[in-house]
Amino acid sequence: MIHPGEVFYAWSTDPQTRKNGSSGGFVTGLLTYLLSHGIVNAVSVTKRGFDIYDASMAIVTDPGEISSSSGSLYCGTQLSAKYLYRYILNNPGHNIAAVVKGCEAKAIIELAKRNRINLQNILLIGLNCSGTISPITARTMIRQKYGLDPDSVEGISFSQGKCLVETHDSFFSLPIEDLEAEGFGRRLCCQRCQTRIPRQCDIVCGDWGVIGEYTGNTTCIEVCSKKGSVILGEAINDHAITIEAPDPKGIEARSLVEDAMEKISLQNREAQFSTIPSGDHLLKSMMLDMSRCIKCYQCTEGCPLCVCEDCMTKKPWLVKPGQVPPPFMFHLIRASHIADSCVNCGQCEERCPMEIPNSLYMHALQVELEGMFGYHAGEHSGKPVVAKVNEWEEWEHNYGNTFEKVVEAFRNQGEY
Amino acid sequence: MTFTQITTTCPYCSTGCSLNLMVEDGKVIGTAPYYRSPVNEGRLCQKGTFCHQFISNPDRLKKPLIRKGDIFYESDWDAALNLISQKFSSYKPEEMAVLTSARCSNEDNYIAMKFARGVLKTRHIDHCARLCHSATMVGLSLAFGCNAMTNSIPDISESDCILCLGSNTLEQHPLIGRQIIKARSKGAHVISADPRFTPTTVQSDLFIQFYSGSDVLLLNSIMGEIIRNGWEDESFISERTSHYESLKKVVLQKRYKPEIAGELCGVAPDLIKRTAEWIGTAERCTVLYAMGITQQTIGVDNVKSIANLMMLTGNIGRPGTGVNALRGQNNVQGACDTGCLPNFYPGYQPVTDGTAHRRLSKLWGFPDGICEPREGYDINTMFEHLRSSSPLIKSMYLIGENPVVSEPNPTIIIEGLKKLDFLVVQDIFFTETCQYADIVLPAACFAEKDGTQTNTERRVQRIRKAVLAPGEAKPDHEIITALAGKMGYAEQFNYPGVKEIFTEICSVITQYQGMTWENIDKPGGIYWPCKETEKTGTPILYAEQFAHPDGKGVFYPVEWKEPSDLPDKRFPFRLTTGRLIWHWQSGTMTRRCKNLNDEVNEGYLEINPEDAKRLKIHTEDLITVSFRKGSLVCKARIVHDIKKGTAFIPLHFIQRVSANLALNSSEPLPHMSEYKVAAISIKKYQEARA
Repeated sequence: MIHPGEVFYAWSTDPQTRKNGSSGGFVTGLLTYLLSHGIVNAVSVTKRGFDIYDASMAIVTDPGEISSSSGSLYCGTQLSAKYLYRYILNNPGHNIAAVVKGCEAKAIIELAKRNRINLQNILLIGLNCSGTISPITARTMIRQKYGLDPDSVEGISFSQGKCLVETHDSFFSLPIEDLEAEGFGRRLCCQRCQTRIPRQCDIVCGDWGVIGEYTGNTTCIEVCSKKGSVILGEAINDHAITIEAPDPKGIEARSLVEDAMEKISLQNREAQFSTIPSGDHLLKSMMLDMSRCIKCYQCTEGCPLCVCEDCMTKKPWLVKPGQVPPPFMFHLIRASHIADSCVNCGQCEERCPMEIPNSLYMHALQVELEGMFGYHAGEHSGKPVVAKVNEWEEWEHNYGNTFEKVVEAFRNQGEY
Repeated sequence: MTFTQITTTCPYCSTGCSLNLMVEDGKVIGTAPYYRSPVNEGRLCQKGTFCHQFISNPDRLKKPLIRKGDIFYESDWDAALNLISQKFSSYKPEEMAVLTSARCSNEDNYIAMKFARGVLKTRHIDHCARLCHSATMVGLSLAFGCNAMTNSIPDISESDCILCLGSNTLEQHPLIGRQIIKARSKGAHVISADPRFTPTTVQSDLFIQFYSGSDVLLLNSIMGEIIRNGWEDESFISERTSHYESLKKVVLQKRYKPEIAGELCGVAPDLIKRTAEWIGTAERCTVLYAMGITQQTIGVDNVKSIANLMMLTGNIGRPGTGVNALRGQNNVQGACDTGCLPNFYPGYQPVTDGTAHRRLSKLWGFPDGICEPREGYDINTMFEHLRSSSPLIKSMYLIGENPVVSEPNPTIIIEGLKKLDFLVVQDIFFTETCQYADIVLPAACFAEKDGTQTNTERRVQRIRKAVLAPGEAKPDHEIITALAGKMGYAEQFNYPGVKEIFTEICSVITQYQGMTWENIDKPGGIYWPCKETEKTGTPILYAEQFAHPDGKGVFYPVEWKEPSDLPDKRFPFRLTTGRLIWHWQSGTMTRRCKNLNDEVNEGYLEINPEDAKRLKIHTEDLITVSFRKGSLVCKARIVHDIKKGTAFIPLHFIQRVSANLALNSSEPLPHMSEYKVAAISIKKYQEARA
């Protein structure tokens, strides 16, 4: 019997998958099992495109196709939450297993709280994540800092404070800290991320904590929910997955990695937030940066939480249409609707054609709101602050005619 | 249920951004970023973001239409092509003209060009680049020996000083605008010269609000200042250029001194001096220009002046420098490269060059030869000829062109089209031009075909088929190939797929010779010129020498000429036109994208608050705009962003048709049409009393 909170070493029982998949092929094996046994209708994965810098999102229904998506892609900067939402919207009742990074898991949970996704339909398979790097930044970095032809590189990874670059015959490594000081390395939002092991998921997987003879052919997994433990149990019973008790030294190493990364992230966060002025200077600084806005809607398209059909930014009495740059109200609406639930996925910044540090502002606001209201974005408990204090209309829009009932429920719980 | 993402290139401007089309059950449901593209790194403007919205619009043409009297009847391919084949065969080569489109792929354009020159054997072939960058083609060819943008998009961010002249880059080429933002964040000076305070101006360090039409005056003045202060790059001038003395003589004239020139172009002399200092002392300076420079009757002079300025300061051939002509449509460069021009074969071989003519005839192998080696008519000449009492041209084949809206003088175009004996229009929607057609053929749009297109920085990139075309619509090259087959030339058009067409293109165009279907099929494609051995082609031109036989750049000094239609007492305002970020060209596609059309859905006239106060006009008032040859009615928009005495109309709407008329009153039609300067008067609209 497997219980939530337990940690194991695991791998695929299929020798071929164990050999070819990443870290013992646990994820590939589990996904193949789930699809071929009809436990899920589809799985959402990241696939390698043209080269190692090219990652794209795919929803796979054929178990035979899963092996083509195995392996780590450190340039996988995209976010699957919104695709999943669209998929589920168009395929009601389908069950799906999604392989997700921390930011994706948090976004999915926020969507569930907004009644957009039913978590019962999703099995979240989380991945430990040390951060992602934008493809073109990666190529420039490899050319300029490693002196290599980006096309000759076969792999990029982050490990023990180093950025490792692998060619067919050798390894090159440089300290992440130095690279990032020069504007290379991971995306800014990844540098300040605090969700390295996303325990919001049903099962979290990674190679942190895998030591000794297990290195390279084993995944260290943590079961985080009842659903996760049931599914894992079934996969073991059906001989798809093998688990073993982990090496205690490995477990210690795993938490050391996690702690170290979170500590550095916190430092990075403080350093990045210190560039944002406070008080009314904050507003001024935002207005200056956002004067570059061309109203392309990439930030709202990219934001996993911007899913309203009837968007307030499109109300002509709030934001006059057709203006470039748009009135500042456009950004104020975004901030007031999203900031409490921002999961720091970085999409709004990654997709902004005008290099506006959207994500930095939004995340900083979220951290401030978290301090005020105690609401933790992307975790299972609680309801978004804005949803609680916002007007009736907004509530109805998201949750139907339940406003009074829920306010009553909050009063009784005394949660905040 | 299937869900896939297809990576393709955006169908709108010439930046050539890549994006993923999200396809669910054979329908494009949205776009997603493609982070791996070196051009846009996943970022998109609004047009790109919502480019999927017109694909499945119910207005799409689905069947060939044949006119009987005043009514179009749906028909089938066989009947339509038989009829066209029969009609086309009945004309002499001289009596036919073909217009291709900068919106279509390289393969579509090449096949259309081969069809015109090989099957119809006509020398009259052109496309809409005539309206945007023909001035660039002439001006840059004279100065540098080659007419393309000199640098790549990513290296603009390495510049120390960027001059945006006649380009509202942030709105018209937003993802090139991003490079300006990047350069500026690294400390570069950005200078914006424009009659309007545009979104680009908001991001600049210096704003030169000059009168439209005084570009040469401004540039000559800047060059004079640079020479007087000794900021010119002497070694570059002596080693790499010729005819410098003649330039010096012109720009050092008294009339170009900042104090005098500034007065005429409406700019404080200090601003001109500062601009000269920034450009003259920058390590790497670049000029971004677009239609503001070229869509004037004196466009060629403007382009020559820009080339002069960059050669004078040695800003050629290095990252962050150069003359960056920002093209209009997605494939203007490719349509020109593939020889859809009356004076050039593919790869800019002059049509009068006997060797090129023989080479092409041999390669194509038409048993009855190809068109004669003489220059054909350009688009303006075609319609000019159609005005004569017994026009030579009797039949036209328009592929993806909507000249009734896009061409300068609609009256002349409509008159001309009506005079034609037989007109075939091939498009994705029933455009304004289709009304005058005898046969309308339904074409596939960008998401429904494979192929390549060449962006403004000479980058050849793939477009990929994501979904099936609606109804019986087909890709342009397939339609033309089928038609060629009907006309007895199946052997010359034997292409199993687009790959074979592209391979033939590479064998014909020297600039493309190192490319293959396989090696361009990667993120970011390949830049031309691409020689055999190169992996990525040539991002920056003229690093060693210019493209003239002696390897030198040539200074072509120009004197400033006053625009022909200047304001006077009766018509006190200067009218200029431009684009909005929300729409594209005649709006055939963007007007059908909800998210774009919701933002701006009608034309208007922008004027300065001081002018508006004097005229007692308020925002949203209906106004009458009169010009020498007519008038139009539209809403007014009062904005601080525009220079006093100047008015602006966006060119995506029906008002454009009349505005074009105002701008092109000269007769005969110039070879480059005027879109930027005209004199108008404005008054409040009063309903006619019965």
